[in-house]
Amino acid sequence: MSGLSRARWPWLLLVALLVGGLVVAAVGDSGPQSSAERARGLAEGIKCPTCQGQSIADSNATAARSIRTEIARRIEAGQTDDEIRDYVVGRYPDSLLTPPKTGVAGLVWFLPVALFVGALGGLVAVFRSWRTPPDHEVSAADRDLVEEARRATRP
Amino acid sequence: MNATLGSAGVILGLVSCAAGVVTVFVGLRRSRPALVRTGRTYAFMALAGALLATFAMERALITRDFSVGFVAENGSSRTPALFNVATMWSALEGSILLWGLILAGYTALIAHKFRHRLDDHLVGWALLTMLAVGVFFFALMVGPANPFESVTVAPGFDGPGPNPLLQNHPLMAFHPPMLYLGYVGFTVPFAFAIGALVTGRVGEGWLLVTRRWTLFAWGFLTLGIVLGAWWSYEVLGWGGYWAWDAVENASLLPWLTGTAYLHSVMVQERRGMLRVWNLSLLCATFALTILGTFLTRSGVIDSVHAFSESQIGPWLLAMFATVVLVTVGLIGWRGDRLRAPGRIDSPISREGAFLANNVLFAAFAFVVLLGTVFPLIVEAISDDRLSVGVPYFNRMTMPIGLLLLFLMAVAPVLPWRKASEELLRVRLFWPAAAGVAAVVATVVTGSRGLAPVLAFGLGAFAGGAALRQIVLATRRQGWRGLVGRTNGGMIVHLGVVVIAVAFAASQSYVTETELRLSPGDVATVGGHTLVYEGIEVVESAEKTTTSALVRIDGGAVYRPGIELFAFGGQSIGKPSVSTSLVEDVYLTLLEIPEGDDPAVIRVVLQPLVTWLWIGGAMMAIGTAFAAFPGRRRRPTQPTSEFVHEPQPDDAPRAEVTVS
Amino acid sequence: MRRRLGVWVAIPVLFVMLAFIFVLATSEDSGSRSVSSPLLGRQAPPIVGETIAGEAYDLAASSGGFVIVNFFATWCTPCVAEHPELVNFEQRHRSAGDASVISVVYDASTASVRQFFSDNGGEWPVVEDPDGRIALDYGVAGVPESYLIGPDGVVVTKLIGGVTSSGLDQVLAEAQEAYR
Repeated sequence: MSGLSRARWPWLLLVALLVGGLVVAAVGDSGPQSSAERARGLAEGIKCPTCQGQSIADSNATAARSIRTEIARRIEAGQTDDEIRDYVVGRYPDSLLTPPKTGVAGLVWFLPVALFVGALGGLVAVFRSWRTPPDHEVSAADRDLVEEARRATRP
Repeated sequence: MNATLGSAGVILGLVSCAAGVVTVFVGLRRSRPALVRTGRTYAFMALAGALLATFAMERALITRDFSVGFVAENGSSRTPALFNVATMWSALEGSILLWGLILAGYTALIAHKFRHRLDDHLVGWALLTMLAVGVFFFALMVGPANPFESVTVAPGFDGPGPNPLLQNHPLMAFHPPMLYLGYVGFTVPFAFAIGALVTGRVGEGWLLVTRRWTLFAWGFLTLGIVLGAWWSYEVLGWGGYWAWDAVENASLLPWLTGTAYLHSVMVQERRGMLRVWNLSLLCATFALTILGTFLTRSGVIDSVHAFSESQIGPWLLAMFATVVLVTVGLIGWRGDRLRAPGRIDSPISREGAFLANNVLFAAFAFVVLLGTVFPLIVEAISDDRLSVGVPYFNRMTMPIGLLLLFLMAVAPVLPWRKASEELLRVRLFWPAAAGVAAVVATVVTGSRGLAPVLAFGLGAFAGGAALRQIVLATRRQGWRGLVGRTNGGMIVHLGVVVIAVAFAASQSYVTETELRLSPGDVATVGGHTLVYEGIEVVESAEKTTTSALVRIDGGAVYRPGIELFAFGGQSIGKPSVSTSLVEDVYLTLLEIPEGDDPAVIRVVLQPLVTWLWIGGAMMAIGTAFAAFPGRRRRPTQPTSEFVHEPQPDDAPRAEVTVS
Repeated sequence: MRRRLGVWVAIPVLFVMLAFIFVLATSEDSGSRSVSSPLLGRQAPPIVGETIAGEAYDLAASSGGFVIVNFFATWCTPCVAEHPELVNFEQRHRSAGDASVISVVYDASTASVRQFFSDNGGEWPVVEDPDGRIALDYGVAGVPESYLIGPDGVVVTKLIGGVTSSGLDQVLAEAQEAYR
């Protein structure tokens, strides 16, 4: 392979710009969160007790709003995210929208990844089996057949 | 009178379908084509029955005939006219009637379009399958979901009307029929798949003949889903459009497998491969429509879309079990005989890309299905109760979505069979440049967060590739470069890219706040100035609407409000949205202020929401273009065949412009 | 083995699907599950506030005996339906002296609550909860919900939905038995 041929440098430039941009995007996002972001993050993970299937971040029901107010109050008071979650779950059991990563519930995280990896592995195996040409031993009878055909078609 | 008329229609439908099933079955087994052909008559009779029942129901609703049970529970004299018609599908029994009507319509259409080929056993079995599914749905209407039960009501009785949330918006009229045209439409390719499995004939292009039917069903389903999201956004008041709710997931699942099918069928068309996989996809899509209906109507899963409870659950589950048993049995029995001997030469090829596409969509569908039913499974195993909500779905589907965007960028430029690196470098340069430009531009203008920026970049990459195809095609063929399968498909891809970018932006860059404002107060939220000007109360026969008047950015006045319905005392929020191409300002009034109390108004700012609907429209337009017939050709001819100068069977050259 | 691949794939798939169907078939309806409260057996969260009559109220300072804490709203139909039952229960047990009733307002305006009690009777403290703190502390998901609190301030029972006078009698009798 030749080195930096003329065809390649635009691509290298693209890659450099891309990596640079993504690094800035990632780093710029990773500082400590503001209270509003923390509140929203917590709220998005808690189920609204009155409405079915919505998080308290999205619901305007009274129960949801009062929990949101309470979360804001506790963030001001300096509680950690885990403490706040424990309080809410202590009042409303099974209101966390994100299943834990351990135990039976952890299956919901693990199964899709496992199956995806399995499918990829299966595909790799299938491709490999396609690539190896089938082993055929050319038998003497086959050679004779071909010889005969060649003789027959010789002008 | 309406109740009897309607019941007669339903019974006519049921009897016709049942008679049709028996007749066609006997005709197929005893090789008597005449009997099979009478199946056509039964299909038309079933349609007549469904039309009669629908006519009776709409008449009962419009004339507010409260002697019909369904109307007594859902109709009302206070409902405006348009919504009265739509009331039919606003509750369970009527929605089953709508399903039956559309199914009968498709069955009759199939019987008509294939009338000259009914002698073919495969078509016969397909017709039989559709009639059998019809038996099920008409039986539901006779049994647990009977909309025509007669009731006697006291004189002067007025019904409660449909759920007030469903009276809010004209979209309510369109969303379910679109969705059902899609849902039920998938019965057609399923029926042909069953026909192919039973007769053991997969290699003749039957699936290709039904490709256009699948495309239409898919297109309607796409429209139905996007309309549903739009309705949710405009009406429900929570500022969002997709909650990964069980009902939403139920409509998404067949869409995902249907999309996978639309791509992998091209591999079958071109290389004759993946036949069994395609059949499985079609059967899975149909089974998912039944499963989705079960999940949303049986009450086993919490959902925002509350359909009333009924006895319909066990029936639907039994149907799902039947479909699963029949299809898995058939595929297990026939599968080996149907497998094509071909091979895929290289994973870096269009075939490889479509394979990857299918794996990703299958993973997507699996994640959505698992997340939806997981609470049930856990409860059955360990008696624990847990919820699987938005954070799970977003986290798991995001990498899949990003990979799909990447694939959308690369696949259109990949030739069949095998690609060379040089080819890819040449073709992908400008799309890649577009992608990197998008990343740099968004980062420079302040966007942060790896996931959304990556989404923007990949979106531009994919959009660039699609645009490149369209430009090349129109340069070669003029306006014909926009229609036909591949070009229409590129427009659909563009629509998907727009939706993906809008989704990433509106999920990642939300600002929300609650304001307490007294009349005359001015507040600044995220660069917008809001002036609260006071309260306005509007009374009508059925509801009292209290709205807050909010002027945004010195321009128009928006009226988020609360509607208090006279009957039942329910109060429903009515949000108000200021839309623009850049950002939506979503206002909701949280409490009716009393006297001089300040009004509590919630403000949610979401960028690029409008582009979701624009992208949806692009997808619909692209689907219509894709269905547009290209130059007349046999369906089994590969699409890469030159149209102007038909070559004899030379292998079509892959690299040159044809796609 | 390759020839029978179809069967080898079909059987596990069938097994998984049948197990899945079994799970779906045996799932309880989500609406009929009862909610157990993490508060049972623990000290009742404080109820401190102002009544609609403008007086201060504190649960801890109440005069002992059992207390029924009823969360309600005027727009909630089962709440309205259960109100006469509460009135009946309260009157009988006020004379017996062993149980009392208090109401906590859940998301309704004070004016409408005052009007409601003046129209429908009921003379017991009705505590306002403007921020929803009390409802949050008790884990109230919807109305009506009622809690039976023992003389020692411990939460004994949680009742969801409309109550009847005789139903309350029964719950009270069981609690009194347990406290003996």
